[in-house]
Amino acid sequence: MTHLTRNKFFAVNAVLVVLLIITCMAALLIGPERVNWHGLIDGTDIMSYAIVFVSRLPRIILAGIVGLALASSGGAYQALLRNPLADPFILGIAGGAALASVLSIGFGVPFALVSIAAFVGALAAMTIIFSLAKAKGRLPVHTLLLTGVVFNAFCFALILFINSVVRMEQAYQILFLLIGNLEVTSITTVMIAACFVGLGFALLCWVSGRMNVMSLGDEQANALGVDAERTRRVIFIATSLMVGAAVSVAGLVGFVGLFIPHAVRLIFGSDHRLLIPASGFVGAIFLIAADTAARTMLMHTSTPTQLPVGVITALIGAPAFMILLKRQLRGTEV
Amino acid sequence: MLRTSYFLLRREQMIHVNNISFSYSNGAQALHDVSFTCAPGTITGIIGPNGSGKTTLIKLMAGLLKPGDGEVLLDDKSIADRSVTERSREMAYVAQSEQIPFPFKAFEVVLMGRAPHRRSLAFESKKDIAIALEAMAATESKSFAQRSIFELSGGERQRIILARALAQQPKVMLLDEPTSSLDIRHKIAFYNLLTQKCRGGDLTAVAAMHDINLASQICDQIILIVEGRVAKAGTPSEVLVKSALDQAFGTDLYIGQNGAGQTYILPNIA
Repeated sequence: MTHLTRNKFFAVNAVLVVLLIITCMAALLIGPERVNWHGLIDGTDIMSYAIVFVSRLPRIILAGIVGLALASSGGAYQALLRNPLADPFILGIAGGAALASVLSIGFGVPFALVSIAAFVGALAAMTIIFSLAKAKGRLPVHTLLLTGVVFNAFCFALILFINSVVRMEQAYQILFLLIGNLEVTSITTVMIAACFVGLGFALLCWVSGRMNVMSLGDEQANALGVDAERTRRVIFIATSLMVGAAVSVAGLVGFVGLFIPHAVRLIFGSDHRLLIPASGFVGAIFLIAADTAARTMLMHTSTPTQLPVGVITALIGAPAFMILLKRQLRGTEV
Repeated sequence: MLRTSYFLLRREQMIHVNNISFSYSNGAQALHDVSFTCAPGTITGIIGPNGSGKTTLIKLMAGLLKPGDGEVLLDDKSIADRSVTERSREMAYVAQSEQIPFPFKAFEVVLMGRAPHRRSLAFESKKDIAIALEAMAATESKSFAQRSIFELSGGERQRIILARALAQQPKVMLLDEPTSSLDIRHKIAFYNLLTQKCRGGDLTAVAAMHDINLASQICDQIILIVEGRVAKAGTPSEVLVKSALDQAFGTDLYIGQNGAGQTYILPNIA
């Protein structure tokens, strides 16, 4: 079966959603804190209830949301830039969100407001890059890419500057932000992030049907009835919402957006109608698993700490990406 | 009644290129006051030296570029007045080369030709699949339908692209060197297919071609473009004369005719 049929689409997504639920449940059961499971089910042990439902569950949900956002955005960016080596941070949104976060940390702003700042930073970056890259009302891909890369570089230069002048605890916070860390503060944060990610995800899935044709290039897309310009705008807005929300709560969790779409492409094919949602679900599963590992890896060692999840995604993601890159090195021109 | 509707059907493929002029954004003028007509059911060949504006002309006819002056009419309605969707349902465009960045299966690429005829989120219908398979059979590419396009040779990929254009079921095909990677057998097969479809009244084709010999065989009309202008237009025997070609290409050519009345053009090594 080489092309995407209705059956394949629903079957794959159904399986992935089931896997996601199983992963969530497994993650709930794992952790360094001691949980009295009988007490939990009886309803007598409030401490266990707190650990599982107030501490772990929101964090697991957040991991799922961030994984979904980053992986599906990664897939969409690869289609938009017609390059399988693109990731969701490449177009400068990461730089904007991170810079805004770091600035607010530097000014000693409480965490909830840091998130808002990050999100605003992401949207501001999107607007700036959009207008800088525009040429005669159109958004050419190579200009978008260059503008994004330069913008990112500039933002990170500023971040390094700020990092060298802040206090120790703030530098520590900044580091965790740059690596990617899922330290949840409230269920409200999770719900708000979920709204933005949900909206962006829906938008992406809506235009996923045009991404196949769009990847053939602007002219051929036009000749096949797809307005590449308009589709690019929708993708840019949708991904900005999602990546902005993800970065604002978790910092720059790397590699998820880069290699999850690759892996999904290898297993399920390149049709974007399936690739986008499937990448989202696989990304969610992956990040929940990675965060569980991050929470528990050093559990039984002499220095039990929780690692930031970005460490795990980078440790797995970088070698995984190298393997995928080797496969990628084949000619693409007709 | 039947004859009138047949006439109307064929009229729909009549293309008028009226006084087209076009300059690129850097100011270089690519085309100047180009005009010609393509009758329905015919194959028009655009020939000319490199850089003369053949590709630009094809793109303008496809509506992918907007002319600075003049217009292109299909069925008495300007191309520019049609929406992207309308255009994609009536015209297929085959570029000189295409970069496909993802390892789609060959069959998936051909199915993309059905995109103009279905809603973007819908899945392909049985009819879409049948049309795609038929198009692949016509270009002898069915045998590698299940393979990734990354694995195919240049010629195989080109046949897939051509199958995609056929699957679009357009009224007009605009082709830019469509057979450059194909061996002689597949070249002939493709042009036979094109001829069959055009004579059958299903299609009007315009192709930019480097192979003048092939053009002389299959084209009903040839337009010789030199430096953005129409140097000569007409039937192959009218256009393919030594003086016109030598001047256009800056060459010394030998033009002969074999016993069967076929024209052949060779470099003059005398």
